[in-house]
Amino acid sequence: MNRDAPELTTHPSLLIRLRDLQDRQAWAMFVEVYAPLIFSYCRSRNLQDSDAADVSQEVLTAVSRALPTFEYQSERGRFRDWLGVVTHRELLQFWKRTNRIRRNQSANGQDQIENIADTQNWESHFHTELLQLAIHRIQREFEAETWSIFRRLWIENESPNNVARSMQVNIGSVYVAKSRVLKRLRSEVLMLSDDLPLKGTTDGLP
Amino acid sequence: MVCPDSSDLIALLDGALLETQALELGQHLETCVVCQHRLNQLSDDTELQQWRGTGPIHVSQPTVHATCQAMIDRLANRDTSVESLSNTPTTDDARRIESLLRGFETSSFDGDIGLLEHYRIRRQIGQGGMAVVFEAIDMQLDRVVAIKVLRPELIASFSHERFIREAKALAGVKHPNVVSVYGVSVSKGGFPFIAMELVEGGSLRDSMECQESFDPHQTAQWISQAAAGLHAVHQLGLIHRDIKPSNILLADSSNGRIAKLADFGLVRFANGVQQATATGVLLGTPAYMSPEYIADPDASEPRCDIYSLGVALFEMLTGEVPFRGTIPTLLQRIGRDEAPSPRSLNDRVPFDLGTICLKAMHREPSRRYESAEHFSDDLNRWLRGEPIRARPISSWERTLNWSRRNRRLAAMFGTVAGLLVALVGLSTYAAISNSIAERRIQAEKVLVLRANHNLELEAAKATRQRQVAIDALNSLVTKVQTELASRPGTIPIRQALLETALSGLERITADGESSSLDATSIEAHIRKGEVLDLLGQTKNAMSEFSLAESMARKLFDADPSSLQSQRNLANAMMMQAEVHRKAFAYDLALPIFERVRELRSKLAESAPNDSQATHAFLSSTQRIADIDYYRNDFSKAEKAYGEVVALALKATDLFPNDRVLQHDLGIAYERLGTLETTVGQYTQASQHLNNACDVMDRLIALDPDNNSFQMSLAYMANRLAYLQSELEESAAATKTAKRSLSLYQSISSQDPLDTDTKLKIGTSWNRLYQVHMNAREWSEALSALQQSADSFEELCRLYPTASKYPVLAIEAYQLLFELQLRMGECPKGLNSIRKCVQFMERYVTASDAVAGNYDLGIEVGSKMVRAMELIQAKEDLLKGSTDIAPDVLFIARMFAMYDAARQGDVKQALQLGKRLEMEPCSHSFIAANTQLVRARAFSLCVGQIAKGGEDLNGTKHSESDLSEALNACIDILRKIAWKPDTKPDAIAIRNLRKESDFEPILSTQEFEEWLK
Repeated sequence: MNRDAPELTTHPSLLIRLRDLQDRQAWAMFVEVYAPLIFSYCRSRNLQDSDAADVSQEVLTAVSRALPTFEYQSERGRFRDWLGVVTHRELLQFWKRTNRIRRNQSANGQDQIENIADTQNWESHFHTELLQLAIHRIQREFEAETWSIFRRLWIENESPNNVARSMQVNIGSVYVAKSRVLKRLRSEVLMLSDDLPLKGTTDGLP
Repeated sequence: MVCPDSSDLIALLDGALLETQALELGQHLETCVVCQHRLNQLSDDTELQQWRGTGPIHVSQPTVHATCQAMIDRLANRDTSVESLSNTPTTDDARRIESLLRGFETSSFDGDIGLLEHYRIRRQIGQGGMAVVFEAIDMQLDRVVAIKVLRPELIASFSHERFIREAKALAGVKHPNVVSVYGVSVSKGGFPFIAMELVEGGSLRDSMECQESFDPHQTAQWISQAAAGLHAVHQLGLIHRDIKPSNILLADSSNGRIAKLADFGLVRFANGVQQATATGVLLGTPAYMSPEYIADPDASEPRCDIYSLGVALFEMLTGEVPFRGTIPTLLQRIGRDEAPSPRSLNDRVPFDLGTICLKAMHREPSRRYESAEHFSDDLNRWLRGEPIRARPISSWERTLNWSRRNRRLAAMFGTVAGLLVALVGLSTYAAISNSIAERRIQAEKVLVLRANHNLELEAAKATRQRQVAIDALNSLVTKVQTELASRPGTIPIRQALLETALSGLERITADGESSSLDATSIEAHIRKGEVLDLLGQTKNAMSEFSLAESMARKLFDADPSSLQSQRNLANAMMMQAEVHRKAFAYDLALPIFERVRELRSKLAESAPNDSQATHAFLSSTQRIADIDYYRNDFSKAEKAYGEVVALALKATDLFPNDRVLQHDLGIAYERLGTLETTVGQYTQASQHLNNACDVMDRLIALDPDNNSFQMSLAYMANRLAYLQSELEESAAATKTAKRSLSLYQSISSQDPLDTDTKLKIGTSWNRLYQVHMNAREWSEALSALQQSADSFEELCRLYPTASKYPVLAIEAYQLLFELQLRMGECPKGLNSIRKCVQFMERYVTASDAVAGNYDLGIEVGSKMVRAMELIQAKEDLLKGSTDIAPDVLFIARMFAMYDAARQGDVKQALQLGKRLEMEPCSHSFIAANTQLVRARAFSLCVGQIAKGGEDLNGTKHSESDLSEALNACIDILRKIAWKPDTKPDAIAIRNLRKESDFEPILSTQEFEEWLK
């Protein structure tokens, strides 16, 4: 039963690792995680593929420049917010370049810029994308049964009793499975984004 | 069962319960809805729930868009230190190219891949991030071309504009070092493609990978060519943005392989007009990107390309790029670190080439080469062995940078003194501090001046007020001239200040053009040249002057009507003409002086109230008259000098308080007087020379510290002394000569580095000697001559590489020798002749001795032969001085042989020649030169015999005599063929042999080979 219990605290944060310029794996992972996230966000802001790729590349290189100089510091705010700022900055740059923000709109130009920084959308986009990726990344760590309990319960929103019944397990196991995967998921999200502090390490200790 | 505690439920979720407990709890849960609810809450994660939101979640393999994936690959997996912009073909890639090929029409020719309009596609020869390149045959023009087709996967997402723009941009560049574009088109299938010159020699990257031997010359040539091509690109307002070794192709040409710039995939217009379609992202290859381009990709400008080309040079020289690492590391390092010196990676990199490389890739764009053309020019200078324009970052500048970084530490050194030590270096500072009191005051004044300027400069830089900086530097350069040039003991300070100014100027040269900046640079280069000239570094001085001239000419060409431009050009040319004049190269000097006079005459006319313009015009007129005089064209010179005096008188009337013009008048009088002395018009001469001295006396009374006034007076007194001596006014002559000498001595004592004055002391002693000789005051003459010889000897010791001092020393010792013998001081005479031998050797080994100026050796040698005759009269003397006699005898015989040959006494010449061979000379140089003398002697013999078979004495010579002489001659020439001056002799011998019908000793072919 303990076979699929993942370790929770062994992965140092990706963002911390990035500060070590020699850590090439961290950089590759960072790009693999965030490039699609930013890319799809740009696409959702009506950029063409090639433009979205260009802007994403720009954001990532800006991040790479900033990380070792500690422009981003977790105590000053969340990474997702900071990344959002960078992304919107680059988007703005892009629009400026392509003259999408026109002069005759300068009267309400302020609105335009505020519209660009659509924090609400950014946050939900960030959450969904990151969560999906994290879920995908941890899936292989669990036994098939555990995983399908979790999938049906948490992802597909089935009721616990239904799941227990159709899977022919007792109800307690359903919650145990759910709890285990969510804990792991939390640690994965933390590892990837420095978001969501580990429960139990921050408030569980005396 | 009672409902369990929360801690039990948590333990259950954590798997921390024993199996029996868990089983029990499980049973309870099946039925207890309350506990189910509690457990649901405990197992929940509200934050994650929030993240999850309410929408559907996809947990299948996340799909990444192909364009995005390409970007990820680019960013994540590339070893950025190696350029490979998706150069490694993947299966995906192969598939994509396959689809590209399918887009071609079918060709009816065997072996073709396909047909694209009138191009038969033969084979794929390369692929880059944006395009695939094919070799093709242009059926219309029947030539082989390269066809570059936009990558199929880019066609969809990519407006064709960038690709077409590249082609159009490139088509406008016609340069031998840029790959030519023949045309651009879009195929029926919708493929945009470019037809261009096919370059088959591979790229610089290939040549590097083939590990051809380290060849800095070849590298410099290629990079210089690439820079020339790049300049042509920049001229059209284009930026390449992806310069790297693999984009510099090598084409075979009649001059070996030449570099051609290619792959303008990222070219864009610098003027920004076309930017709407540019993507503004970091394009290019990170290892070759400049710091400012990384900081702001939109700000790319020509100097980014220069940087990239500098990196390419660096890599060619060292096999390494300056910075390595993953993208973030690399971008960090480029943005933050100083590039290492290429020599730190490969100590075989020539120093100057390393300097050029570091200048091209300087972190600050403004300190790089202004243009790719400058870069190319500097490389060419290096290739030709000329001094380069790039200068290594000076040590004081490094100190300054260091102290800027460590302000606190610098503060510990104390204020000005610390800064000064940092700036001028401890030794200079100490040297200045240890000098005599007045000089120290002077020096400190200067140092404070300098410190002020540096602070001003720094302040100016900080506030980005370039003009302030330029003005500060300009005033520094002007101060060097106005306040220091005529002050004693300031040569090193002047040099250091000018270096400071120049490096400061160079730093602000970059951003935009400014004529005041250029004018200051020109002025600084001229002044520095002057200083170098004073220090005896004529060659370096000349290169400063010619640099100044080329800068001035550029400004002049741009705006010929600008007075400033005319002035600068005239000044720069004047300095060069002066160098020629001092080197007696009158043919070179005269046309330049005439051109300068023309310019300055116009300037003086357009500014009648500018005394400086009048002065400038006067001095160039004066120089032209001088050359007439030096060329012994006395009537012309007399007229010219007369005009100069008239002009000077008019000028001093107009500007009565102008000391410079007064000085000019004094000089004009002196020149005229000297000429009159030469042509024997002693009365006028005396009057004019006295006038000259009076003018100078008045000036010195007004400004006793002015060195140049004193120098002039000393010179004039020297001329006057000669005249007085000729007029047999011996007391006056002695007095005047001594005055001249003491003036020179006082100037020299203030300025120990001033060689010119030292030289003049020597010639002044010589003048005094002549005056005493004329007055038949032998012992006074002797002691003056001894002093003269000592002065020249000291100069020889101080400047061992200069050739002019040994000549003077030889002459002085020879005169001394003759005088000593005449006065019966034979042992001292022998000592003098020994010195002669010593300085002859010095002359020949002096590094800047004119190659092949053998005549002087012969002349000196023949003087010594005459000396020998005197010695031989006292044979007992020779026996007593065994250490010197053999060499002296040797030289005597050498020239005796030459004399014999010249007079056609072949037998005597041959006999002496043999003896010379038997008794080698201990002086290596004499030995070597003797060979040549012998060869020449023999060649004279051969000539004599060939003509009539008898010599001037009527002695008949046999064929064996002739072949002996010829043999000996050729033999000797062979031995000393390494000497550059033997070639004319060898040719002369060959001609002789042709004239005579004797059997050839050397076949023609053999001879030609040997000549090479």
